[in-house]
Amino acid sequence: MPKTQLITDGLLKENPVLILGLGLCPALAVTTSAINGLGMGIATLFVLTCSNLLVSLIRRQVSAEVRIPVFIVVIATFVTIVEMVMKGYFPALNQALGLFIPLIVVNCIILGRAEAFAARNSLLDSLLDAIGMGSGFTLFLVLLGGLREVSGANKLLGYTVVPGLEPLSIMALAPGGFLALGLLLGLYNWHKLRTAKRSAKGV
Amino acid sequence: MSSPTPVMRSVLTLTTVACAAATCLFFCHAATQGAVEKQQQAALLEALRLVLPMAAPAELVERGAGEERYWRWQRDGQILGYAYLAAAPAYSSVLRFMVGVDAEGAIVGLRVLYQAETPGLGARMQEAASHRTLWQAIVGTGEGGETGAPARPWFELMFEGLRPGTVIAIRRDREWTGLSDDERAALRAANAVTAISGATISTRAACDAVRQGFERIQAREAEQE
Repeated sequence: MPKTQLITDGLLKENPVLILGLGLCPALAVTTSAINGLGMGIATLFVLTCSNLLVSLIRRQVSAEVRIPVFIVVIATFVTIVEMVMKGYFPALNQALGLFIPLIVVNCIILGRAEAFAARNSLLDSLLDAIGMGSGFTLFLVLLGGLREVSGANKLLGYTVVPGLEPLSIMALAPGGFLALGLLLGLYNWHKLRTAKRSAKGV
Repeated sequence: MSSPTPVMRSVLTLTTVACAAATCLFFCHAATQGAVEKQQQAALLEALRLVLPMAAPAELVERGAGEERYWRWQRDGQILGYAYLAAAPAYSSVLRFMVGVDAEGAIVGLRVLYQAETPGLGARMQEAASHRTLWQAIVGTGEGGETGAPARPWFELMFEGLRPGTVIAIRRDREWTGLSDDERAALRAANAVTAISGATISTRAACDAVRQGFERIQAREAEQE
C-alpha cells in the first residue's frame, strides 16, 4: 500500500477510537475541554511514535513469549521520560497537562499498535502508522472535548460561548462522556450506512 | 555452554530491556532533576511573592521543614506576618496552598499551588473570571484584551480578609462571582466563603487546609517563646 495511506488510514478509515475502539478510557476521561483533548492527543502521539520506532527496531530480538512485558516496559519508559522533561523544562505545559501524562501508559492504542503493527513492520512503516494513529486520536479527542466543553460548560477554548446560558453540566461529567462518545459513534455509523447504501444503489 | 534455550533467551531479553530502561531513566532523572527542583523552588517563591506582596524576599525567614514549612515576615525585629504551606485531601487530590496572613491573623493572600479536582467543578478554584465571549476573544475586545495580564482566580480572592483562627463558614446559595461588593464585604465580616457550585467537598477541604495550617503555625510560634 502507498506510504501516505498508512497515515490517512489512522485519521478516519481506521481511526483508533471510532473504528478500532481503542483508547476509550483517556478519550472519556480527559475530554472535558478541547484544549485538554489536544494536549493529551499530542502527548500520546509523541509516545506512540517513539514506542513504535523502538519496537520496530528490536522486533527481531524479542521472542513471542516476552513481547508484551518488553513492549510495556518500553512504553512506560518513554512516558516517564516525557513526564520528567515536562516537569523540568515546560512548567506552563505541565501545569495544564501534568495530570494526564501518566495516563498514557494505560492507553491501549500504544500497546495495540506496537503488537499489531510495529512488531511486524519496517521502521518507516511503523513511523508512518504511529503518526496516522496519533493524529487520528488527537483529532477525535479535540472533537469530543470541544463538544463536551460547549454543551457541558458553555465554553470553547476557555471562552464563554453564549453569555448567561446555564450549561448542561452532566456533559462535563462521566455520563456526559459516554453520551457524547455514543453520539459521535452513532453519527459516524449513520454516515457509513448512508454511503454504503448510496454506493450499492449506484452499482 | 550450549546455545541458550528459548526460556533462557526470553529471560535474557527481558532482563536486558529492563536494565536498559532503568539506565535510561536514571540518566534522564539525573539530567532533569536540577531543572525540576528549580521549577518547584521558583513556583514557591512566586507564590510567596503573591500572597505577601509587601514583603521583600530578605524579610522572609523560612522555618520548619518540608510540607510544614512556613515563613516569618519580620522587619527590624518586628513580626509583620506569616506565609505558610497548607494541604488537605479534597475530592480527587490533595490540595496544596500557600497562604499569607498579617500580624493580626487575617489572610492577606492565598495561592493554589496544586489541585487535581474535577474540571468544571473543583478545578474551578483556579478559574479566573472572564466576562468575554468567544466572539470578543477572537475580535480582541472586552476586558483583558489590552493588558493581557491574567486575572487572579476568584476563589483565591475570596479568602482575602478572612480569619483562619476561627471557623470559616461556607455559604452554598450563590457564588462569589455573582455577588455585589456590599454582599462580599458582608461575607467577609461573617468570616464566610461561597462554595463552588457542585464542589462542596473541594471548598470544604480548602477551608480545612487554610485553618489547619494556621493553627499549626500558631502552635509552632507559641513553642518558640
